[in-house]
Amino acid sequence: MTDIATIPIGTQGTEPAAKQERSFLSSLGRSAKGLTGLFLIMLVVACALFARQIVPYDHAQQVIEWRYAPTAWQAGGSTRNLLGGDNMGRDIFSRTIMGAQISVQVALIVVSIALVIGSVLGALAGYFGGWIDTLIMRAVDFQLAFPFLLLALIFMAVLGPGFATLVMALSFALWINFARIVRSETMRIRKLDYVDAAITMGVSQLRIIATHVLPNVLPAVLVMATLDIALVIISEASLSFLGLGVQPPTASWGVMIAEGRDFLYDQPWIVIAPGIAVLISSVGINLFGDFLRDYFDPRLERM
Amino acid sequence: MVAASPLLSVGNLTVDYPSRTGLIRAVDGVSFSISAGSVLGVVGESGSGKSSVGFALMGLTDASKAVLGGTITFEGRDMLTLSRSAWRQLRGDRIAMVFQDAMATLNPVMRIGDQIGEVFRWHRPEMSRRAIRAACLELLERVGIKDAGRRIDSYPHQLSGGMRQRVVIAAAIALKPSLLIADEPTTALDVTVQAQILELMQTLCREQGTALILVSHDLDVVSDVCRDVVVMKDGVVVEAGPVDDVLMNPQHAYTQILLKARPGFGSGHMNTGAPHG
Repeated sequence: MTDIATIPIGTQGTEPAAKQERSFLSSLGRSAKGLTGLFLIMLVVACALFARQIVPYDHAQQVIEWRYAPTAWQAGGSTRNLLGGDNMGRDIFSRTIMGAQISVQVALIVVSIALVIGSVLGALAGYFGGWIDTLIMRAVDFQLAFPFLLLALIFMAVLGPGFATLVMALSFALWINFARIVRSETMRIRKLDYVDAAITMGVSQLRIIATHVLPNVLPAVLVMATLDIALVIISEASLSFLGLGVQPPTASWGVMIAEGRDFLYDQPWIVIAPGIAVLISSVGINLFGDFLRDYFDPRLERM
Repeated sequence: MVAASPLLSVGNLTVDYPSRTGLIRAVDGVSFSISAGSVLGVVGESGSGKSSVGFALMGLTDASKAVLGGTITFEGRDMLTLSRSAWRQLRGDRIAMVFQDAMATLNPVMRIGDQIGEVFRWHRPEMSRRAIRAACLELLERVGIKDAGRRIDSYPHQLSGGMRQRVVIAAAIALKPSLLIADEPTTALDVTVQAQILELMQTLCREQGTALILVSHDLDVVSDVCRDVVVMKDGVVVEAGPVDDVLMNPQHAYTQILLKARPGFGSGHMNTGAPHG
């Protein structure tokens, strides 16, 4: 027994030292992409959180002299209305800031709901296959065959337009994106050895899905989620544009673009301001999403 | 070793995989047994069904919907009649497995400490987080990983191939199983690391009294490590017995071909390089 104990096991002099582990914050600090994205997101979120404190006027306040008021830097403009006034004499700057509230809320709520439902159903379909897969994927097919606007219209017709209906319609439309991507990734991952290894360790199927499958799907899901947040902000604008979403006089970017469309020649900033807001949010979210993907995938070299 | 009845006995085992044209028989009536603490080699060429035997023992054939027949008796219980959950209780606890490719066996997004700890969390739910971490540290040290305190928080891609296989072995032996199945455990490694890993597995199995089934196509490895050997071809056992008898004096034509196919395997070498055990 003694000679067994003295057998030198483990002479790994040539094995490379572990790469230095970096914390989330320090990788973020080194990533221009992540910092820019985070900054833009924080900007939009701050506008949403402190909208009431930032806005100089109420978003629905109408002043007759403010109609088509020029922006502050145009001839005849003043700092009274930074981005000018709209067709109804409302302050465009105030309305754009208030619009952030609606957009951020809708985007976060919708994507969270769609992500959770879609990922769970997608993982179940991909992992178990068989009739579970058939059931879930036929539901996805059914929904893909349905035009999104028609679906939204049905929701509105049944439940009446409004914030809650908007959230439901958008979540219902988006979960399939997550279900499909998670399913295909799960089908790939479940064939990998580490899933087999977990089975040989006696780990239960649901726990394998939770600890081995879903974390490995995360990068794909995160990228999807960022794209979808931008998509939701735009869809909310579309639905509100059609009068199916947020109702006037509540300011949402979609409502503003819808209303401003007719007055492009009189005051283009009714449309430009919310347009830039949508742009800033989507670019910020996409940059940050890219950074997250790089961070969460330990196989990629950290830059 | 008071093994009146063997630790594991496999009787007339069949494994059928479903295919479009019906069932395909990968393992056709294989029987063997292994007593507690001993080492058994299963050799054969690719497609001989040797891995399927290992998978059947671990219940890995569920996913491919394979049909198992015959008997697998482990510690006196017929595993094929056990419920799924009872069988799962055995896996990881009493029987464990080491796979060929350690990189693929480890989840790339889990720290290695968490992966080893998974066995404890599942089979020893009463253990606290700190106790599990301490146990993992001790295991990493036992499998010869230097600087275990730092490595425990590493991701698999930060380790070399040999170290990864050590981690996999650490997870496999964590609960001191009575049977360890190693499916080509050293094939993906280079020769010097191969020797270290084999030695490590032998040492650990001897210390813990764990029986080892070594599935391999490498006759050198098998003749070095194993006491008994089973030679498989096309899902059937063609020859079985003590390593010395089978590999020194092969009776079956296939075993002879297999031995001849090995590069630089002369009878002289075999005589001098007999198992050191």
